[in-house]
Amino acid sequence: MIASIAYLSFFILHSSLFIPVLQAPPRERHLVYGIQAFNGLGYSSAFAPPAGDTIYLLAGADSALSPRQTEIYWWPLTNRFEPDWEALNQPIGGTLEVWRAFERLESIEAASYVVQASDGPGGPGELYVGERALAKYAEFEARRRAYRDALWDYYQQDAEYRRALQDAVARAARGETTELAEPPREPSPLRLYSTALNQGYVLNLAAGRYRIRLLGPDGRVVPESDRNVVVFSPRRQGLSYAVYPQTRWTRPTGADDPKAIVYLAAGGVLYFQPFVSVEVNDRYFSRLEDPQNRAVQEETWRWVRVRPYSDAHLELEPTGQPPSRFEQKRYQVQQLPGGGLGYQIVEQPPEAVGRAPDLDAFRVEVESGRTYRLRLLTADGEPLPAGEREIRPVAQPDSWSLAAVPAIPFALACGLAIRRRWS
Amino acid sequence: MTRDPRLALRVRAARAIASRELRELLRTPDLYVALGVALTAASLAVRSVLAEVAQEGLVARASPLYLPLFVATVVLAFSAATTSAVSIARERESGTLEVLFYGPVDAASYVVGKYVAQLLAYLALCAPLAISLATYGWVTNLGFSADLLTGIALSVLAAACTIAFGLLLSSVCGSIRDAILLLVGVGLLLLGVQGGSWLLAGLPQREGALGVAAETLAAADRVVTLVSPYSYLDRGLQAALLGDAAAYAIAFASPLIYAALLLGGAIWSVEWRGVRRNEE
Repeated sequence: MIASIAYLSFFILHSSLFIPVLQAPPRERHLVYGIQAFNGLGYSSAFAPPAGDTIYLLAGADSALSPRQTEIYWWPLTNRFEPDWEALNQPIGGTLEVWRAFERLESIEAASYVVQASDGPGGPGELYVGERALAKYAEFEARRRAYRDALWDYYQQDAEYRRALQDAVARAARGETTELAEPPREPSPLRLYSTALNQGYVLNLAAGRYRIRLLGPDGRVVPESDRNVVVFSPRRQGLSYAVYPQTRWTRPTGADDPKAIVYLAAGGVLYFQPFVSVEVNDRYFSRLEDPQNRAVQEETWRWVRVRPYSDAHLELEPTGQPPSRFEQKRYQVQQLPGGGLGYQIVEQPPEAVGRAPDLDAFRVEVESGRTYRLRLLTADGEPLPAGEREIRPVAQPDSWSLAAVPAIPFALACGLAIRRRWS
Repeated sequence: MTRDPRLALRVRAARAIASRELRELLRTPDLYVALGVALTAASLAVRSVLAEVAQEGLVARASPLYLPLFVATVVLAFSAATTSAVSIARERESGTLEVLFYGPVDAASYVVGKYVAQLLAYLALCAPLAISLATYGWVTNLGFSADLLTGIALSVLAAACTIAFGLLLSSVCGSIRDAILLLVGVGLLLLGVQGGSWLLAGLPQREGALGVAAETLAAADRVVTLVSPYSYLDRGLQAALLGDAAAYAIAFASPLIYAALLLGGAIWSVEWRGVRRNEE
């Protein structure tokens, strides 16, 4: 009897573990803003649900807002509202009003827009509006069709080539000689990226705080369309370096601040890639990229790399020695043959056309225990003021050396305590 | 130019109290223990920077000794606040305060004298602090930049606030125990506001009680950040770094205004509460 109850309990418990549980959070229909915000380099795509009532944009640059009705749901795994564009994606027409305090600054009509990036998503991008957007999107479509056709032709030719190769092998086995044509060349990949052609409102505002709202065709304010807009400017502009140690090229260190010193544990090969960068409010910028980001609360600042600085030379001056000049080169990372892990960084051969390099940087070799001064020079050899850094080796003293400093006041305190006791 | 005899008397009394208090501070081991603890904390912060360099292979920083400086100044200022919080309460508890006030001492000269002594004691610690940081910089090759001297100068202003705050607490409380408990309570409250605000800020869906708590703590944190002398220390360093004269002036003037207000509160509190012991 007990065994039967135990078996039954086990069965119920066990079977309950395998009942599929549906995890489909409830959806609600809301007005959200699709955002294409200029981030200094390209465009960040984001969406602002009604809960994120403030939209952050960079000053003096075109950014696009696209109000839409969609279904949103709370996704507990990421602690975020997510849109279900497939269920509903309805653009809202009308006129977007921009207010500053009690003054209406602008009324913007909806226009077609598209964002395109020549080097893939995440790279430098452009926002095209109106007729130009239509033309650019048509051009993108044409290039995509051409690429698809070229790829189709390539696969056909490749199949044909493989058949010819098999024939040649068979003939060679029979002792016949045959000539084989050159293998077909794969078309260069289409790196141009484009968003779909959208309808929205393009804003280009000076730094400040604004409010926006959407007026429907009937002249009434569209519910949930009222939002705050914070437009901000960079605090400083400068030159940053991404420093890649040869020993861990996938984890570069940023020497962004003009006063930053690069501290090294040991000598070795370093790759320096210079960038034009801007220093922005960290909270504003984080929310520009994601209006639901609430992790950054404090008024901290961060450097954002805007674009690589090209056409320059690097000068490295060891202390007490004449400087050496370096050229920026393109490098590839190659895995070492064999089963074990390992890689080497080699210069990209000229025939590797179309392939993006893994590193486009200055390669410098530094010795252990030596301090260097690093300068970025223009093509004419003039040093760039924000491009100077110091490379300094760090000594690792033993714990006793560091502990000796606080030991002095402790010893003094002990002496005073003993003296007070004796007196 | 005529000189107010009452003011001259007050200044003399304040000077005598400051001199007596400073001598006492410099002769007791507490000050040097505080410096030792501050430098130990700073050396741990230096070690963490070195460990990071050793682990990562390379680290880029504008001022790697800023964290050790910050840690050390916070420890020293907290120690100064504790000593200040104890001082008036102790003298009231022992009856010394009442005896002093039979002489030519009033609330203003007494509080100002105590304040000046504590501030001079903090200033006396700044030199060994700067020398210690320079030693850390030299031993580790992390360097010692002029920004650190600016930071030490600004830390005096932050300490001026915390000392005035300690004196205010001490003047309000009747006993040493109450003063220490209140100081620790306020410290924990500030930590709770900042920590709680930071924790709740990470939750995007903040509805109901959680939402109210998050908004309240965020508002409280903004107030704390606005009035905290240590946030002005950070802003002052940023302003010095950017050469922003207006921001630097604000970072310089704000702690002085706070300190003046807190000192005014402490003087008023001594007058209002009287100088006699609790049981009397």
